[in-house]
This record gives sequence, C-alpha cells and structure tokens, in this order.
Amino acid sequence: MVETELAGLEQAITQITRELARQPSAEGMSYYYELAGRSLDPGYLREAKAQGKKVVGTFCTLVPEELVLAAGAVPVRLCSGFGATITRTEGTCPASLCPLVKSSYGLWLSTPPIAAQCDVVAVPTTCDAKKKLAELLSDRVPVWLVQVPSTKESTEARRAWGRQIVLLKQQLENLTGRRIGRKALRTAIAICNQKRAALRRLYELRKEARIWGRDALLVADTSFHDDPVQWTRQTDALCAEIAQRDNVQQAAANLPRLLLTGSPVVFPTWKLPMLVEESGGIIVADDICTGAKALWDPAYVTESSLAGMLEAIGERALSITCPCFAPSTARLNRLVQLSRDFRVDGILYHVLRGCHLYGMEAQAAEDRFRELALPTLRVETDYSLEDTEQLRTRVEAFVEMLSARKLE
Amino acid sequence: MLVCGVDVGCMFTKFVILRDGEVAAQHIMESGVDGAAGVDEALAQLLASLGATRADLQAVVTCGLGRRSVEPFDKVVSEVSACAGGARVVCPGARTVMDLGAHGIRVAALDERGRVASFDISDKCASGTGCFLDIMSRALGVEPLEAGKVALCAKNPEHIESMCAVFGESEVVSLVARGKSREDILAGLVDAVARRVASMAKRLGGQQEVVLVGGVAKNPAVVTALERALGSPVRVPDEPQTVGALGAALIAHSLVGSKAG
Amino acid sequence: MRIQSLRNPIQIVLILLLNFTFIGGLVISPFLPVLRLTTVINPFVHIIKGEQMHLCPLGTLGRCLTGTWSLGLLLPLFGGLILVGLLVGRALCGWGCPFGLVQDLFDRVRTLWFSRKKVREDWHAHLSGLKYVLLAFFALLALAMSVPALANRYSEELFKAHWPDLFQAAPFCALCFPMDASTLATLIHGATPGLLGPYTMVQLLVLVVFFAGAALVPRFWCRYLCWVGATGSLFNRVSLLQLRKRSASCTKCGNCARACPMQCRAPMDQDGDGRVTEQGCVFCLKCVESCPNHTLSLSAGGTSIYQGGRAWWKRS
Repeated sequence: MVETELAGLEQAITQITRELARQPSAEGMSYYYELAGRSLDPGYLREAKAQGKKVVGTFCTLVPEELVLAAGAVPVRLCSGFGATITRTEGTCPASLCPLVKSSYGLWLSTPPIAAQCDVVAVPTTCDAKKKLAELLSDRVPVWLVQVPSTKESTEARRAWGRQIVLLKQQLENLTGRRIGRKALRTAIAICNQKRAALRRLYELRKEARIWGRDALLVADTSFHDDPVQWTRQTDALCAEIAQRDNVQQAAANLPRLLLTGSPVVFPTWKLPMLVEESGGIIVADDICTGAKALWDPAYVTESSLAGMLEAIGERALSITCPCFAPSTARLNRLVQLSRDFRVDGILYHVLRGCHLYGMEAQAAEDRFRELALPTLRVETDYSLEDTEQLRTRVEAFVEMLSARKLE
Repeated sequence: MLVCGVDVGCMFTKFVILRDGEVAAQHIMESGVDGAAGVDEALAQLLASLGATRADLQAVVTCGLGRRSVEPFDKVVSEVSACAGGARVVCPGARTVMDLGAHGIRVAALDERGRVASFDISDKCASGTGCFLDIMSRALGVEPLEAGKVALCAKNPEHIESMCAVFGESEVVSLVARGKSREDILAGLVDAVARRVASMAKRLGGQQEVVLVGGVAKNPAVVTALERALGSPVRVPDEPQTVGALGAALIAHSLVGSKAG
Repeated sequence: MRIQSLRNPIQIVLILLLNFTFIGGLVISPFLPVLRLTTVINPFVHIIKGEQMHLCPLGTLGRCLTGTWSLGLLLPLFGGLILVGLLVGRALCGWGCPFGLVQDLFDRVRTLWFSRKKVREDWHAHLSGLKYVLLAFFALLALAMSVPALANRYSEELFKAHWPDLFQAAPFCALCFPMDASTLATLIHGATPGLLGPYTMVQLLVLVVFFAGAALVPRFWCRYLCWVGATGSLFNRVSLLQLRKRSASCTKCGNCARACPMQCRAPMDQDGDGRVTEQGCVFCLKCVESCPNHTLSLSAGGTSIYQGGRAWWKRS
C-alpha cells in the first residue's frame, strides 16, 4: 500500500479515536480505541497468519462465523468506513452507489494489510451492490458468493440456505484442509454465543445509560476485527467496570434516548453518533449491522448432531433482521421491541445515499413508530464530512424537540 | 431583566432584546464577513440605544447557521425551535410554522400546546430559498425587494419546474429570449417556491393556523402563492424576519426565570 | 429455569403415580389407556397387578355394553375423558405418558449417532390423520364386539378358551393385542411356550415400528399412530390450556419450529395473535423455551402461565 495513503487513513482513525478518548465512558474503552486504531492491520490477523491459519474475509453479517472458526480459519469483516478511499473507485463504481461498497472496494484497491492477508473473501448476496462488489473483487482474490435467499418465509428458501451452508462448510474444509467435526463446531458455537452474550450484557447496561452510544457502537464494531475470545473477555471487563461507574448515567440522566437504525455506521465515519451526543442526546440502542444486528440472538442448538448444529447456525444467520429479506416484518418487529425495551424517546433512521433497502423501509418504520408515539428523524448522508453542519441542524432540532416532550 | 436572542443567518443577523419579557428593541443587519466582531458591535449599539451594556444582559441565546460564533452565549438552539416559539407568541394558535430564509426552508408542525411535533428542513441546496429568488430577480434586472410587487402584476405566470439556483439563471435568460415578461417569469418562480414549501407543509399535516416567517415572508407574491398552493390562509406577522431571534430571546427569558425560581 | 428440567421428572412421577398407585384408578383416569399400552413394553406391570387393568376406555366401554358393568359408568368414563381434554388438551402426552418419555429419552440417545429426519410437510399432514383412523377403528371394533353374534363369530377360539370370563365380559379386550402381554411376560420369564398368542407378532411389530420410528423421527408414535393421543388432539383447539403467540415481537427466527418434536408449524408461521396450538401439540413447551423474544407463551384461559424467552445471556 502506498505509504502516504495508509498514513492518511490512519490519520482519519486517530482523529476520531482521539476525540472519543477525550471523554471516554470508562477506562476499559482504551482497549477498543487501540483496537480501532489498528483496524487496517489487526494484531490477531498477524498472529493467525504467523500460526499458518487461513484468513476468511467477509462482508455483511450473514456469513456464519462459527463455520469459519470450526474449520480452523479466522474471520475478519471487510466493510469499510473510510471516506478517503472512495475516490479510487471513480470509473468503476457509479457515483450514486452506496458509499460503504465504494469505500470497501477502494480500500481493497489500496491493499492494506487487512486485505492482503485474506486467503479468500466470502460475500453474501444481500444487496445488489455487494453482489457486484464480489464480482469486482474476484479479479484480485478468490471470492465465494454465499447465496442468501430473498425471503425467509418459504420452506424452499430455507432449504436452499441449508444447502448453501453445507456448501460453505465444504469450501472451508477444502481451504483449511481440516474437517469440520461435531466437537469443533460445538466449540465454535460456544465461542460465538459467548461473544453475543457479552454484547447483550453490554446492551443491558445501555438500558441504564451507563455508556455513551458512540463508545458502545465502537465496542460492537470492533468485535468484527478482533479475536472473539479476547474481545469477549475485554467486553466482560468493560461491563464490570461500567456497572460500577455512575459518570455517564448521571450525565445522561435527562437526555433524550435514541434508537439508531438503518444503514450501518462504520468506523471511522463516526459523525452521526458524535453529532447526536454533542447535541445533547444519547444513543441507547441500535439495530445496525456494525452494532447489535448480527450479535443479538444466539445460535440455538436443538439437535446436537452435526446436521442439527449446521441447521442451528444457518437459521441463526437467517434470523438476522436485514432489509435484504422481504417482507420486512421481522425487522419492524425487532425495532418496536427495541424501542420498548430500551424506553427510547425517538428514532434516528440513517440511510446511506444509494442504499435502497433501508431507504425503502424508512416510511414503514416511521409509520410503525408513529403508532408508538415515537418521532423519527430521517437522515440521508454519505461518508463525506461536508454535510456535517446540516446534519447538526437537524439533529439538534430533533433532540430539542424530544427534550421538550420529555420534560412534560 | 434584559435578555437577548440572536439569529445568525448566512445573509442576515437578527437581534431581539426583551426587557421583562416585552420586546424592547430589534435590529436586522447583513451578516457580512466580519463575523463575531460585527455582531458584537451591532449588539453594543443596540443595547446603547436602550441605555444598557453587554454586562446588563442576563442571558443570550443564539440560533441560526452561525449560532456558535456569537460568544459568549448561554445556550444555542435550533432555528426550528426558535421560530416555533416566536411564531407561537406573535400568532397564538399557530400550528404550522414555515420559515423561509436565505439559504434554507424550515417547516415545523406544532401540537396544540405549541411544542414542535415534527419538522422538515431543506438546506442542502438553494432551490426555493430566498437566495434563489434574489438571484433570479437580479437576473431579470429587478431589485430583490421589488420582486414581490412585480410578480403580483403578472397576467400569465410561467410554469417553472426546475429551481436550481445555478442553472435557473440560464433558464430565465432563455425565457426572456422567448419574449416572456418579467412579471410572468417572476410569478412563475414564486409559484415554484410556493409549491415546494406547500408540499413540505402538507407532508407534516399543514394544520391551521399556518404562519409564514423569515425574510422571504416580506414578499407579498410568495404569501399569495402559498395561500393558493395550500388552499388555506397564511398569516404573516408584522416583523416576520425577526421571529427566530424573538423565539431565541424568549428561551433566554425562561432560562433566567428558571435560574431565579 | 429450563422447563425441560421440570418436565422430564414430572413425566416420571406421573407415570409412576398413574401406573402403580390408586390414583390411576380415579375417575378421570379412564382417559389413560396408556396403561394398557404399557403392558406391551412393561410386562412387569401386568405381573405385579395380577390381572389386566380395567382402565382402558375401550375395555370399559365393552364391559358396560355387555352388562358386566353398569351403564352408569359410561358417564364418568366419557365425562372424565372430555373433562381432561377440555382442561389440558393433549398435555398429558407431553407430561405423563411413558411412551412419550421413552421417545424423548430415545431421541437424546439418537442424536449421538445420527440426525433426525424431518418429515415432508405433505406426508406429515396426511400421516397425522392416521391416528384418528386408528381411533375410529378401535372404537368401532369395541362397539361391534359388544354384539354377541359378531363377537362369537370373529373372535379367536384361542381367546375364548384362554380367557373365557374376559371374553364374556369384554369381547373386545380379547381382540386387543396388548392383551397378550401376559404371553410376552411368560415368554420372558420362561413359561410355557405353547401359550404364545396370535397377537404376539402384532405386539412385536408394534414395538419394532415404535422404536424404528423413534430412531428416525422424534415422537413418531405420538404424531402418526397413537390413537390415545388422538383423543387428546381433538380437544387441542378448544382446551383451557393453550399456546399463544404475540406476533408483534416475532422475528421469524425459526427456533420454535426447529425445537418442536411434533413438527408443528403454527408457532412460527402464524402471523396473527392468539392461539397457535396445533392438533399435534403435546405441550412439551420446547417452543416457548426456545423463543428469544417472549413471543410464545403457555396460557390457561387467557392468562399467561409461562413465557420462556429466558435471558440466555445472563451469567449462570
């Protein structure tokens, strides 16, 4: 990778982590700031490579991590949040394309260590942009297209997904030369479930506003770039710390509580969480892919046979409430449940420009929230920082509106 | 008790000073490039006319694009909240507040208690804003402040769809070349603005009473066109441009009140 | 607390109580002809009690119709059946049936070697009707056999000779294959081989089908063959005990459909609120337990008793 380019990206990271570190929710956050700082060259990937392990790059949340771990490989999510890498994609990607995909492709073209270390990239066919990204990447790295059904409701769709899981298992076994047996799968499921449990425990503390949203979202985001066991341990330590500390809870006592939903907010484009919390609100819950969406439910094993465990893993992946599935009832139900459980005052619906999946669900979501007497602020933006002031105007007005209602 | 509200827009900065809750003085000046210095000076002059100084001010609340540039301030608020509060006072019973400023359109729907229930902001491009109307009228050789009167004289208003402030200029020139009158073109532009604002208001409910504030509210053609587009009467306060600053000043007043009591 | 940790011990307790104590002889227990069936797999029961139990509704029906017992007994018999059905539907299958317990335990053992087979939805729907056919068959047979002319003509001489009193009292019982448990018992305990009854092969066949089915499909017997469970199934949609769904929180994760041993689809598929108790539901509550969203609940007359959705992420 060109040195200056890498330096530029690292500077973007440092800028954000420094800002976050000025008012951290807890001391334990320093681990995550450091982790985020190394997101172009994660330590655990280097170690894995040194041990001769294979690295499987993924996008989205629908590639079951358990399978990768059970095969003895190491997963890493490649969804990029760098605005600077988008310029590289002019000509290849249409200007109106989702910035996440453009940024990820641009990042790949710059070949940072995180990309160079991938032996294969597994891309789920969730949205059109990702599908075509897979095609673009296949010129540079072996790509596995993981076929995700467009609906979860039909038996045929679930059966097809089940077959895809088996295929993925075989592909992984061929990659690592290691058979995925029951014991390996059981261990991998346990590791991943523990990771999810740690996140749920963190979110329980978010109900009491014990951690700023900008920090909690970073904790969740970094889980995709770290060794799962290590991350779980650190997150449990963080939970133990913030359960004792009152600083955030007291500061956030009367602030409007927001639910963040919609297109993912990917580090280091952190303007939205920062804006919200600078404007006097606190994000207490979310269902974004870089946040709780992928880590909410555990893999529920009903049959401890190999096929049973594969089924459990597959169905868990399918239970992720992504708008790539039609109908979107599951996602709307999840949003309603979250707004109730986390006692939110308003919803921040974030749509990345070009993201039609989230864009088209916005009205339905807003209508559903209106039934609960919850106002929604729709924010359409991209990775550039130019519209920060305009976003600030809207967010401030929204937070003020929520505060006034809260005072009554 | 002396408090001040400052609405720092990108073209104009508005001041309202309240003494014991009543409007004591107000002032509109061009924002210019002096930034904070210009604001300080104007404020000092305004206070002097009341026989007071900056030290006598018990609270300053700012809103508008440059709200954080006026130091020191006690609180910043969004224009949405400020305009809503100000409109409610000058027109009690206001349920829809439309703020047409130089660089943005803000519409808020208020509940029966006068609190903002929902809002919409259009400020990513200049289409439909005061700036747009100013550029267009200058392109037609009409002084922006006269544009309203000229538009009201139109016999056959043009139907204009595109409202891009940059490309609109060339469109206007081509219309003139086709022999369209200034009055008709201006009326068409005003209609386009009215349609845009009306659609924002309708999406939020458009409930009576509908109040128009902001600099553009001084344009009589815009008011008439809006009433037509909304199908309901539109009230314009006597001083529409300072309503935002008034709202900010009222918030300053309640800040002092809550500190005391 | 995991509801299954409660259910399995209760199964054992109820089975013991109902099979070996007087409680089994109470009026409501005419609903529990399981006891007849246990003699197929547990010859010891027969040996301990000495003679066959009069608790099978078909046997009781037969005795009432031949005049051995007073007709008045039909009231508590069917009244009991209906009462239990209206109260708990098919819940006794999930909580008190030895066949159910055996299948549940077998299921656990099976997972060590191979995975269960899901039955194709259309086959499942058709096969599920088989148990009602069997119920109708046995009921009609019992009624038919209470007509002496028919009984005399169609019963095996061996039975008439073997149990003349029983044959007089309840001709149907003489035809009922579990009757020959005595034969099986004597076989096992080394009695006279000549007493091998004609239905021994039927019994063995039933055992083979039972275990083969249990090896492949959870609760195979209960789903498709158990005519006893069929009587409970008839009440499942109207019983006081119900499974309810609050669709507003359902994210279609599929846990309930996967967890269900009876392959019920309603908890997952239904999109409206309210009852989701299918005819096959045995109230094992695995679905309620598996739901991460408090969507499903066990309710009695509208009040929720158990809601599952335990906080799986909490530290144990």
